Amino acid sequence: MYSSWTPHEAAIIFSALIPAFPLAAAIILALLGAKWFKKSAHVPAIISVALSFAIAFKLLLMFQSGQLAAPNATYIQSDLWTWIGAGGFKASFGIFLDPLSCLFAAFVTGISLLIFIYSSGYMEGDYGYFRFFAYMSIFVFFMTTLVLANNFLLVYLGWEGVGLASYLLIGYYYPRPAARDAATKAFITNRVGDTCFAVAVLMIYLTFHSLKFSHVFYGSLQSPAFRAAHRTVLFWIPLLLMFGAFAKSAQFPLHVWLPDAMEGPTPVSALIHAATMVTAGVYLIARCLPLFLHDLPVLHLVGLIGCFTAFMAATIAMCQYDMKRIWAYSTISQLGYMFLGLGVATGTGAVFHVFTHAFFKALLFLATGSVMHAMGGELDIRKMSGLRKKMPITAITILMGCLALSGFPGWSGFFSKDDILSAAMNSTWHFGPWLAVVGLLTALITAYYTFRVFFRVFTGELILPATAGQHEPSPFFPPGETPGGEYVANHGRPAADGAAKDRPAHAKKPRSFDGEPAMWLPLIVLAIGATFAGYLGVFGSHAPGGWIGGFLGRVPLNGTIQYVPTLPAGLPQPAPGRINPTLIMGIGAALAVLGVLIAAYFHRINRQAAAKVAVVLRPLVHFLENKWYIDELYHYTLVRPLRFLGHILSLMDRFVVDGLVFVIGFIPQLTGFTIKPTQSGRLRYYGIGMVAGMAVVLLGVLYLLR
Amino acid sequence: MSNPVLYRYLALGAALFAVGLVGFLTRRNMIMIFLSTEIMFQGIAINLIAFSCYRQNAAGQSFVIFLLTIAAAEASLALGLVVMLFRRRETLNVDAWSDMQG
Repeated sequence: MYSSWTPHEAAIIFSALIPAFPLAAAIILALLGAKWFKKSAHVPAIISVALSFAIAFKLLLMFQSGQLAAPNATYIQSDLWTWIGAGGFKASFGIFLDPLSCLFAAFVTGISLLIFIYSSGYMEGDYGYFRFFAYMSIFVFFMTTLVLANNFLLVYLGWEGVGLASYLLIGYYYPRPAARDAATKAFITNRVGDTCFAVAVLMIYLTFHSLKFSHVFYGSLQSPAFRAAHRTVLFWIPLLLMFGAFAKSAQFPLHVWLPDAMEGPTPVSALIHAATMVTAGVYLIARCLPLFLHDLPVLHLVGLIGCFTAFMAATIAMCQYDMKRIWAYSTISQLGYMFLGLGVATGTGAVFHVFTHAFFKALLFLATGSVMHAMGGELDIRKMSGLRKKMPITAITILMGCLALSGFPGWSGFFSKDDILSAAMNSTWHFGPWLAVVGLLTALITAYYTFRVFFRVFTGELILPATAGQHEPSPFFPPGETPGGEYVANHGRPAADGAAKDRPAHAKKPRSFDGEPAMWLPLIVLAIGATFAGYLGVFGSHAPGGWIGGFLGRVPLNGTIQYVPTLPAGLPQPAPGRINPTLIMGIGAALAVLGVLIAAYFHRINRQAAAKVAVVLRPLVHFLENKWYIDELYHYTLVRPLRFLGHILSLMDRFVVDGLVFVIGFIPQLTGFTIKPTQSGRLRYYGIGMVAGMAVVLLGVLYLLR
Repeated sequence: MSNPVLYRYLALGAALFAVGLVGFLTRRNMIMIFLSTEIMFQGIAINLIAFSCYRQNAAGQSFVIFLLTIAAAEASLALGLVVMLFRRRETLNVDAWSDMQG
C-alpha cells in the first residue's frame, strides 16, 4: 500500500497527520486527563507534537531535495474530504503544501515541542496540569490546520481556533480576575479582526466562486480583464484581510490584547508570541500577497502601520518594568517589522524574520519563565539584579536571545531584520526608504531596551526579591488551603505537615535556580537556534537570501520564479542595489552595538544616571510608562460609551421588557384566583359536578340524535 | 317502549341507579357512600341483563359476571381504604377529608 503511493500522495496524507496528532492528544487529555493523566499529561502532548514535528521536518527535507517539485507547479494540494457541502458551495478539508506552509509547519511544531518540554517542568504539579496540556495541544492543532489549509474557510477555522485556544490559556488561572479580564480582552479584540476576515472570506467566495488558494491566486486573478472588472472588491478584500491579520498579530490599533496576554502561564506567552498565534497574521498576508500586490495602497498601508507599530511598541518597551511585558511589546515591535517587510513586498524577509523571531522570542519568554519560577513570581526588573551568579544557564541563554532580538551583528535577528530594512530601502515606493529609516531607529531602541533588561536583571550586585526561592502562589486555592492533600497549592510541592514522605529525595536539596533539566535543556536548544538560525538566510544556497531565500524562492507568485514578487506591469519596477545592502547592514550593526553600549552605560556602569535622565524626561517617561495612553483612549472612546449604553439597555430591560412579562404572567394568576373556590375538596360537590356534567352531555347527545 | 317486560326491568335498573345516586350525593358516612355506589352498580347490571335477555345474546350476562367479580374485588379494596382512613381521623365523615381544596 505505502509503496504504491507517489511522494505527492504520501506527503499529503502524512501532512494531514501534523494537525491530527495534537488533536488526538487534546481529545485524550480532555476526556481521560482527569483520571489517568493527572501527573503525566505532558507525555501524550509531547509525543504528539514530536511526531508532528518529525513529519513536518521530513516534508521540509522533501521540498528541499526537490522530491515534491512538479514540473509546472511548486505547490501540491489535495482535498481529503468534503467538510461542508451545500448546493453549489463546497468547502473541503484539504492540504496545501508549498515551501511556505512547510516552513511554518516545521517551526511551529518544532518550537511548540520545545515549549511543551519546558512546560512539563515549569507547570509540574500545577492544579489543572492535564487541562493545560489539553489546551496547548488544541492550540497547536488549530495553528497547524491554519498553516496547512488549502482554502480560506479552513484557514478561518484555524484562525478562530487559535483565538479560542488563546482565550482558554490566557484565562488559565481563571480565579484571578486579571486573567479573566485579559482573556476576554484578547478574545474581543480578536473578534474585531475575525469579523473582518470573515467578511473578506465571503467576498472572496462571491468574487472567485471558490475558496481554494489554487483557484483564487492562480486562476482568474491573473487576468487583467477580471481585475479591472472587480477593482472595488479587490481593494476591500486585502483591506479586510489586513485588519484580520492586524488583530491576530497585535498591530496598532488592535495590539492592546497582547501585553495583557501574559496573565497566562509563561509557556503560553512563549507559544503565543513565538509559534502559534501572532505569526498567523504574517502567514495570512504572506500567503495572500498575490491579492495584495494588485492593490498596492493596501499593501503600503500594511507597511506603514507595521512601521508605526514597530516604533511605538519599541518606545513603550523602553519604560516598562515587568520583564514579560517588555518582551510582549518587543513582540509587537518585531511583528511590526514583519509587516513592514510585507509592505515593501519582501515576503521572504518577513517570513525569515518570523522564523528567527520564533527562536529568540520563545527563548526570551521561557528564560523569563525560569526567572519567574526562581523568584517566586516576581518579574519587576527594579527588584532584582545580578542573577547571573544564581542562574548561570538562564543568564547565558537569555543573553543569546537578547543579542538576537537586538540585532547584534552575527546573531539571527540581525540578518532577518537587515533583509527587511534593505528591501524597504530599495523599495520603489517612495515611502520605503523613510520606513527603513524609522526601522533603523527602532533597531537602536530595540537594542537599548533589550539590554536594559539584561544588564538590570543579570549583571551588577546580587539583589533578590523577597519571594525568591518560593513558588508562585497558586491562584486556585486561598493561601494555606490545599485540595485534598494530593495537589498542593504551591505548584504541587508537598505541604509542610505530613506530606514529607511523598517528597522525592532530591527535592530536599536546595533547588537550582535554573530549574530542572526539562526547563533548561529547551533553553539551550533555543539559544543555539537564536544564535545560528540567521545564517540560514546567508549561507546554504547560491540564491540571494541564502537557504531561506532559495527555499522560499521556489514558491512562484505571479508566474515568476521569485518569491519576492514583481510588481504589476505599468508600475515602476524596483531598481535593485540603489542603496548597497552591505551599507544598511553596517548601519544596522552599528546602531545595535550603540544601543547595547547605551544600555550598558545606564544600566550596568552607572545606574544612577538612568534615574537622573528619567527625572529630566519625566513627561516622556510618563507617556511611555502609560503605553501612549492607548488603553485609556480605548477606555474613554469605547468602553465608557458602551457601558453607558449598557446601563440604558439594562433599565429598558428592567422596566419595559420585565413589565410586559409581568403583565402576561398576571393573566393566568388572575384566572386561577377566580376559579379557585370550585376546588372545595368535598367529595359531594365533585359528585354533583360529575352528575351535572354527565347530565349535560347526555341531554346534548339526546338533543343531537332526536 | 314497545316491550312492557323490558320496560319494567329497565325501570327497576334506573330506579336502583337513582337511589344509589341520591345516596351518594347526600350521605356523609363513607361506608354509606360506598354502598350507594354498589347500588348504582347493580342498577347497571340489571340493565345489561335485561338487554341480554331481550336480544337473546349471552354477551351481556357474561359481562355482568365480570362486572360482579370486579365489583367484589373493588369492594374489598375500598373497604380496606375506608378502614385506613378511619384509623387516621377516627371518623367516617367524608367532610373530614377535604384537604385538597384550592
